[in-house]
Amino acid sequence: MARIRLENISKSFGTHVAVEDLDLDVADGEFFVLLGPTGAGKTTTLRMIAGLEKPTAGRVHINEVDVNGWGPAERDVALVLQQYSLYPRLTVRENLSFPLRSRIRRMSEADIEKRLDYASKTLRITHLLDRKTDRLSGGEMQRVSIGRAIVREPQVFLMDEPLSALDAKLREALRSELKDLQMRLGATFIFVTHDQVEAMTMGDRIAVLNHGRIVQVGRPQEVYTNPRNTFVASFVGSPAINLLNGRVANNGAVVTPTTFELPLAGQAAGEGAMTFGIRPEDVRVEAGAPVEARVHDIENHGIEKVVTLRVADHQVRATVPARVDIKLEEVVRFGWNADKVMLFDATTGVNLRHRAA
Amino acid sequence: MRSVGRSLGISHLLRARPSALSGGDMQRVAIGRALVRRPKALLLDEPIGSLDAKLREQMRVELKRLHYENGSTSIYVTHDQVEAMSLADRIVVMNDGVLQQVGTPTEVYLYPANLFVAQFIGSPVMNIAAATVGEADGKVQVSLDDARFDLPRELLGMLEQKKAPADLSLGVRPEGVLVSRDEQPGYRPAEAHLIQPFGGFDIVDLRIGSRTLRARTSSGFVDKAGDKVFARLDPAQAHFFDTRSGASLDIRLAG
Repeated sequence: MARIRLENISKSFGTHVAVEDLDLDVADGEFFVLLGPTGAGKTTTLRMIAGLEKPTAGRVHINEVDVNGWGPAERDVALVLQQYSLYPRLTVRENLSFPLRSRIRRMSEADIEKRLDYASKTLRITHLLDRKTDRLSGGEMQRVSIGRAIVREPQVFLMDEPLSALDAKLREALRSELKDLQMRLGATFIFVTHDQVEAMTMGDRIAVLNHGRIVQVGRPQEVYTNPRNTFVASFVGSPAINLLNGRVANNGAVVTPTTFELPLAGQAAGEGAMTFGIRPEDVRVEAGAPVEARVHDIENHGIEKVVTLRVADHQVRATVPARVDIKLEEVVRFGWNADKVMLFDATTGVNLRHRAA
Repeated sequence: MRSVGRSLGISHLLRARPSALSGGDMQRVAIGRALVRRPKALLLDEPIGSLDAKLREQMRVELKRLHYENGSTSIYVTHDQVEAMSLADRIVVMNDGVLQQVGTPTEVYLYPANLFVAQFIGSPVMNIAAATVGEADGKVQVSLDDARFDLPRELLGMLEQKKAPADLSLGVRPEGVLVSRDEQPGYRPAEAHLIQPFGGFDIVDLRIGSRTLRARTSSGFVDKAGDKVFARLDPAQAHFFDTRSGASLDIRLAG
């Protein structure tokens, strides 16, 4: 169990700044996600917590103890990577017990057996214990990798894209397994991913990173409904949010340069240039709606359809129920849920609600 | 070449070296190379499988649009059911070299021919459980172990007519598990476990008796793990399968 606190952490590799002035406070027992695109500094941050990289500046605290001078072993953290680092010629049992047999630990066979039993039951790999790891499927291998972390009973679990190499179906299954596991262990998890679905569905809180800096920290629903800027808004959520440039006039939105107008619900404090953000589920395709558009694309997602509408040069995505009958190039009308429109500064991209705060 | 470049949005890259292109642009060029030949048919093998999620979403729209404008017959191979559903006029679902089902995305999603298709298409995956159908308190009930749900009486006749085997499996997609905060007739008590927010909706694992069923709710509908709610099955979204063969019994109940 551990609280992890990063204080003004920076890391440079030569002239390249990988992480810049990062502050983070992860509570004991929290499932904390570092989310961002490639090169955002997620892995570097994780490696600094693990003790595999030394920060150029700043301090790492585990349970309020400054561990900057400590090596990875002393920090008592377990790292699970995208590539399973298993011994191919050993059985699952041997792989799991390997970290416990180090001379420093001096664990009794009975204790090793007990931990092995617990980890394999938790991960439902008991039936695989005597199998060689090169005979396992990808999902099984990743379970064993996580098992190797569990048997050590570390202070904190650090995971770097552990699901990214698996196929979609397996990823979906392991997502909920991993979250369930964390809840049962009550352990602190710090989880790195570029996949916003993983971040949303597993995280108690998410830190969104970009260019080595934290853009926003919040609960999944906060990040989704109240993103700090257009980067977070478009990174989180699928299908992606609609961002439309325009200006506010007479308390309404005027999207330019095409010029179509839609109402606002009083969230605009002033007039002027603005970027409007609206999630596809808050765009309504219905007769009598204010704006005319053509159907540019229809994606059937089974439960619903994602429809891309075209108004001159703009494209607007909307989700509609699956039973809605709609055809390509058909002329339709759309509007939006005015109270769900987010306003972003046209030049900085910052959400006006965050700027005011 | 100009017109293909334009339709793929790569006109500005015509003088660039491939090594200087992003993943998405490289794949656009690769598709362009196929299109300039004006082929009778276009064969695509996981063309966007290696791109990241955001770019894949965008490329899906572009590919579909291209197909619409070119009108050439396209055969597209993918392991990603979202791509299949999103792009296809018709889908052929295959497993171990054996064709499982051919149909429009709507058909394959609403009426999967067997357990494989049922679980392969759709995300999150369809709930599947061994089921017995019986009568209790004058009602027709389907039991998944100790989790029991009412279903319309027509079910009995349909099962008989389809010569249903003893080993039955019930399948229901998360959106077919209806959740209520208040007790209502036909709803069974359930306890929320994992809640997965997707932003626009939540996927909630419900413990009903000793069973876990996955339900789709509006976002924030169930506040937290441990909350007590009530659930029933939407008969129109219940699928019955022969457990041994995996084949669907093609029973379609009214809602």
